[in-house]
Amino acid sequence: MSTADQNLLPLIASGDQSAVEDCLDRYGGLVWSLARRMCPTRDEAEDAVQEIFIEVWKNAGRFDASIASEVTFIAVIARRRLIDRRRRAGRRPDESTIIEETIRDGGNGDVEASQVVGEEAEIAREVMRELSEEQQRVLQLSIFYGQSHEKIARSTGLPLGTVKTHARRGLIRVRDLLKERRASRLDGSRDGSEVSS
Amino acid sequence: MSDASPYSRDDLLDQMLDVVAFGSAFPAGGSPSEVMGRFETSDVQEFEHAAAAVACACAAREADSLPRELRLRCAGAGRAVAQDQRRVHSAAPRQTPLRFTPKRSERGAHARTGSLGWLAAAACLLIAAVAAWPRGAVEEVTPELQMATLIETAEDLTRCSA
Repeated sequence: MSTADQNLLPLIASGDQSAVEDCLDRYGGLVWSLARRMCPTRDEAEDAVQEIFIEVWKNAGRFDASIASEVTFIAVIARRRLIDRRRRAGRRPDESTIIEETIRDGGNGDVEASQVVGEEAEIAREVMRELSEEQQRVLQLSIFYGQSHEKIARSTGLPLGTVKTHARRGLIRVRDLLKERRASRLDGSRDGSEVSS
Repeated sequence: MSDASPYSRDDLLDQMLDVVAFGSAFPAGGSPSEVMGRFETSDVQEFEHAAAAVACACAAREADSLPRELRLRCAGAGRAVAQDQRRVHSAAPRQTPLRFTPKRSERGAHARTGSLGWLAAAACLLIAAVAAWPRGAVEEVTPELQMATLIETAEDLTRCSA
């Protein structure tokens, strides 16, 4: 049985079948959440989740913890697959349902944590707290709900240019902060190795 | 980035983000390969990671769990892949000392030559046993006996010459 902070993908890559169950326990909810919001129907979301996990199992050996955390690696695979499916189908999820869900789920841009899913997500959350409520909402609708900028502009009443700027600036800020953290972590580990040597 | 593009740097960045982060289609007339070719792979990867982090941050607020049947299907596929991996790992050459396992036909040849060896060994033992076996008591050669033998032989010779 794996411990809570142990990476599971290397175990799966080495043929450990019990790690598959642990991986589903740990990341199944996240992938399901992403698929549910980026697929127009529940059936499509189920198909997408299955495809995503097959891709995760097959690519488990390519996971490199020095590049990104395990949860980010899985979220990247999930998002790529969901975006590809949407492009193939040539449509986006039903916006009216999404807006209703956003409001019902408290998706007013206030990103408060109830569950921690990795260091990168924590950084993203920090960055989003720095943004205005309007900016948070744009980033959330765009990335989590997969809405087009045009639809966001229509549903929020913001000018299209503003929506694009909010989305871009927010993402660049998250990227910069992630980069900074990674660099300082690398410096820390280098210093540590120098001291030990 | 090259300056030869008709797009400004911000336009290109917007288009790249549309593709990797926001999942939009390219604007009409835009070329995905042209846009993506203007960015380092690491740049694209960083934005993908940032988008994934935002998605995780948003998803963290919700405690969704995978539907049971879907989970079973995913687990089944995962176990099959893990089993394949295990097979691949076990088939890979090991670092433990090598042991020669002869093929079936070679094992037969070994068995035949092995039985010939046993036969040869048994024959040697037999020869040694026969050689060592005590023969009848050896008569002691005394001068009297020699004399008697000579006399007998001499008689025969005289008889022949006669």
